[in-house]
Amino acid sequence: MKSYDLLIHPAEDGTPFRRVDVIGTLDSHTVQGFEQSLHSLLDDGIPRLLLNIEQLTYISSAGISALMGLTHRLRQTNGELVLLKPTEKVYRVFRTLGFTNIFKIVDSDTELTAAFNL
Amino acid sequence: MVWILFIFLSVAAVAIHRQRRAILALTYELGNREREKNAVFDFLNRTGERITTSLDVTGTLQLVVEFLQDATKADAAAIFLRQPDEPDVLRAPVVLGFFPPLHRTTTERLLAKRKFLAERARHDTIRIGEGIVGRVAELGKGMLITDAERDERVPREASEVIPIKDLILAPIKIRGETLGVLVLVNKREDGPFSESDMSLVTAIADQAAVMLDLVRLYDEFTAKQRVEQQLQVAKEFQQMLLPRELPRIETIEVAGFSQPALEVGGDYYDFIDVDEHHLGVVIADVSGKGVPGALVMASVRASLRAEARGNLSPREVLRATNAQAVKDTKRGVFITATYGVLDKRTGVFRFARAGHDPLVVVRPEDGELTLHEPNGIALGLMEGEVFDLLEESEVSLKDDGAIVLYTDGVVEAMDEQKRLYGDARLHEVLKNTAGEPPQAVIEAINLDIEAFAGVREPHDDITIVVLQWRRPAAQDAAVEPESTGGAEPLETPATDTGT
Repeated sequence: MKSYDLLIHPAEDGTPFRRVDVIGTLDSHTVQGFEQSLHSLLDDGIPRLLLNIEQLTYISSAGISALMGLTHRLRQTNGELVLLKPTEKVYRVFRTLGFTNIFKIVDSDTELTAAFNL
Repeated sequence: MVWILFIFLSVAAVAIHRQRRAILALTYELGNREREKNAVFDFLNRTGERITTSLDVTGTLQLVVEFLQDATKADAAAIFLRQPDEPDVLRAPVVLGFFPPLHRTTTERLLAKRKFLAERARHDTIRIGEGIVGRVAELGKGMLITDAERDERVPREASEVIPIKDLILAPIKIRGETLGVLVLVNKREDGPFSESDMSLVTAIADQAAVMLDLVRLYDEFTAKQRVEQQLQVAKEFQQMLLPRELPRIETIEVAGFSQPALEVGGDYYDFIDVDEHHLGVVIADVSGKGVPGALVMASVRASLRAEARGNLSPREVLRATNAQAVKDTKRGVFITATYGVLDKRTGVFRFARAGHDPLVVVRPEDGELTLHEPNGIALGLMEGEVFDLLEESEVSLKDDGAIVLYTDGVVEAMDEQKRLYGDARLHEVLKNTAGEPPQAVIEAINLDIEAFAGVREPHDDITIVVLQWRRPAAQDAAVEPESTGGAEPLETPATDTGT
């Protein structure tokens, strides 16, 4: 498996958010590409972003900072970042850092509508 | 007859004239091309000497690619370079025109729109050996493809968005090492690309290699110098801020340890006299490294010290420290900390946890561990209600056991295979050293990390603080189990690898 990859799903009609799959590890080596790709996606004025982190195997503090940056940016425009299906390990990192209080985290697609306040 | 001859001659004359004009134009063009080429050569030669950082390099590469795109009349052009930190990966710092995807990736689906293509080419990474660009980098041999549609080396799926007609790929090579690949796509007029286009690109690629090589050497040199300097300053600074001596308390034994990593992080621990009967204890870890990390650490330490005096609520102290940290730190930098107030008379430790690793309590009799992880987010990120979720919790050194605080450098210590030391192994050491003096516990942890990771500089700071109630009768009460092997299976609250 690749150590890091991003899968940006195309905008679909009728879906009020963009979906991006984050795969592999998000650390100081991979975070730059991650930030560039997602911020240029947000440059198009996307208000709601769904990060599917089902396949995110590791996140370092640099990765957490990047997620914070995205959250800040989206909330400035009344948008929202939602994280989908973190692994137990990644969820634990979020919990220890207290980020389960900040990030919207859901475990299934059916919870998305509520998470995005749609 | 004469008129036939006349016509023939006129036609011939016109033809000759045209031919001559064409030759003239061609000579002129060649001269132009030659001049431009020389100009670029000169430029590259000069810049190679002058350029001192990789930032300048991108500007130069931009000019090189622009020149090549223009000279070969290519629709699109790009330069792919090996990444210094990831040598098996290519990335394109410069992409011009509508650059088609030249290798398959999972992001393909995004790319219905042309405007994304340059963007994508810039952000995408190509592994050495992957796709046509990766192969040129791997083999170090250029390719001139004049009929891309029929050439197997050109990926089919790429042509859906932008059809590829012809291609030039030239390796940027020096001393047998490929630093990158120059790519030109689709000749606009007089296509396809010719051998002479190819040789121009190859010549420029060779020149660019010399320049990049120089810059790389310079970069390595300055980076090393810079890192060493930073390292020294930050290390000294950090050491200066650590407690020079441990508090002496009749009832409580205290030990602390902090070892900065090669790339200094911003760990610290501190003991603060809150009032006559209370000792403030803090352990913290700044997410940034180097001098910036050490500076953030210093400012957090200063504000926490100021807030702690006379204040018996760890929650309030952390709230005030957070408010200051939010103002002081750059967006994205955060600090995890556990701060508590220890009552020296009763041994009760009242604490709050700002996103820090769990606090572990070790029962001295049998080594049973309890993990405390009250709610709370890291410092420096947010003020207001989210931060105010911070909870206070209480542990009694006397009744519950010794308190162990640590930073994630402990559980994230790595062995050569990059496996993590992990919570489980730390817990094992804590169980086995239950009841031993704090200093001995810290030494045992360090020895075990060393046994796991080998003797080398840790990649993250390692900081440990241990607090223990002094038992007046400890020596003769024989509570210290020499081998705790008899202890029943110790239940550890569900906990896995840390951050």
